Amino acid sequence: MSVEIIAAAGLRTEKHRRVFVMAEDRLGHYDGFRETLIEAFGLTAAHADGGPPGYFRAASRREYEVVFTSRSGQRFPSGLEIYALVPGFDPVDPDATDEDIWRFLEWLIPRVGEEWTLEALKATGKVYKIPWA
Amino acid sequence: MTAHSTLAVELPPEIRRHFPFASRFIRINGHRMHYVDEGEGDPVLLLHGNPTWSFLYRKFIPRLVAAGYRVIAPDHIGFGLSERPAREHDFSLENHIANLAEFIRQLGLKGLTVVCQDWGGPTGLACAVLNPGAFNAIVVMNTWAWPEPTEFHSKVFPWRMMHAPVVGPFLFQRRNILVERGLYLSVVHRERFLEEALPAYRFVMPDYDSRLLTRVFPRLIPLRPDDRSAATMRWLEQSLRSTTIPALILWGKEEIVFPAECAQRFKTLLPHAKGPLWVTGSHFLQEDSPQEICSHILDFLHDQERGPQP
Repeated sequence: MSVEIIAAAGLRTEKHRRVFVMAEDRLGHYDGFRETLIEAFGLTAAHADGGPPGYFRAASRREYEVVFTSRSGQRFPSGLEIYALVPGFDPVDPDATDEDIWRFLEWLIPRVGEEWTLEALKATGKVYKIPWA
Repeated sequence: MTAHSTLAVELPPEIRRHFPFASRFIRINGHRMHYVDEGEGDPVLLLHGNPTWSFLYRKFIPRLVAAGYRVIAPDHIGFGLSERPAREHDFSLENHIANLAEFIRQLGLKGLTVVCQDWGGPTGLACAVLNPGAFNAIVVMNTWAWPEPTEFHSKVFPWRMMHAPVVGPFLFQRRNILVERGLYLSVVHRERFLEEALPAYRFVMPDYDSRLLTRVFPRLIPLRPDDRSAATMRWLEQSLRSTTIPALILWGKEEIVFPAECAQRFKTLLPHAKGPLWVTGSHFLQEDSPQEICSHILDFLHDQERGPQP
């Protein structure tokens, strides 16, 4: 399995720091993305009010924190922020991080379903020279 | 207080060599806007789109100045050497129109010719219909001014996938695909582009934060009647129907983002317009055929100055 959603209890967060990877401010821009993430991460109303973030582990075994954000006038979650959990003061390898995020997208897109297909994602990645597409 | 990031304005010599114009700055609606202002005469306003900046018009500026025009080329807020607001919600089509309208007001521009492509179209044309007395002419190139999407913008592959939720920040901001690949795919003369132009577009998009607007602009293109920007685009189309500002339609023969039907739709909106005239050019036709486009613009402007011929 390329990406595994993990519970906080299974994390190796001790002596890890959080490194910002990217932010999405409009999960609702297209239908289906928000609902897919709600289901995959088991989000409830409690998560919008100080609840814990979500986590995933990439095939590389690196782990990521997914912070779900809310915004007045929009359903929760309205957005998300992804942070890499990096041991101690180790450096970050941006390309390795990008490969993990690409694998996360490969995991996400077919779960959204309908017109959002893995084939379309990979074809887009190939056109734009994403190395892992 | 909105968070802001800024870019150094010193351009490397290899870029400045192609862009030897004085960089000017003005405070617009609280944001720092960069622009070029060269020459004297009737003003010509050159408007770029996503993800370019005034560098796109580097070959237009000396040609139009030599022909006796004052040439003004701003960088939209969020692009080029202008300020980069850090929050997605800072950007909207309406804010971009308001920024450009304020720019025109602060510079006191009158008798304007606006030359627009891509997002320069909705923004520049909106300013023209808001204040038609300030505009002598409009030149539209590879753009649109209505709420319905093109086929390119409707398809999941590649357009909607590129800026889909979660995908967009990765491809546009972490991988900078529009600059690193999209531009290249959207010009005809690719080797020349790689050597001469890509470094300048890459230079002003050096990192994640600086690329925010490259992924926000695609999401502002309405696909459905209730999408953001749709009401403004409806207003724009309706307003253009009644404009009598002299117009020229120039279009790239190889354009796929806004295909030939879009040029014809402008002709329907602006039946008095000259054209469409077709030049060698993909979406960024300014990179492909700058001299040919300038010749068409100058011929058009000279015709306007001479007035109706018997």
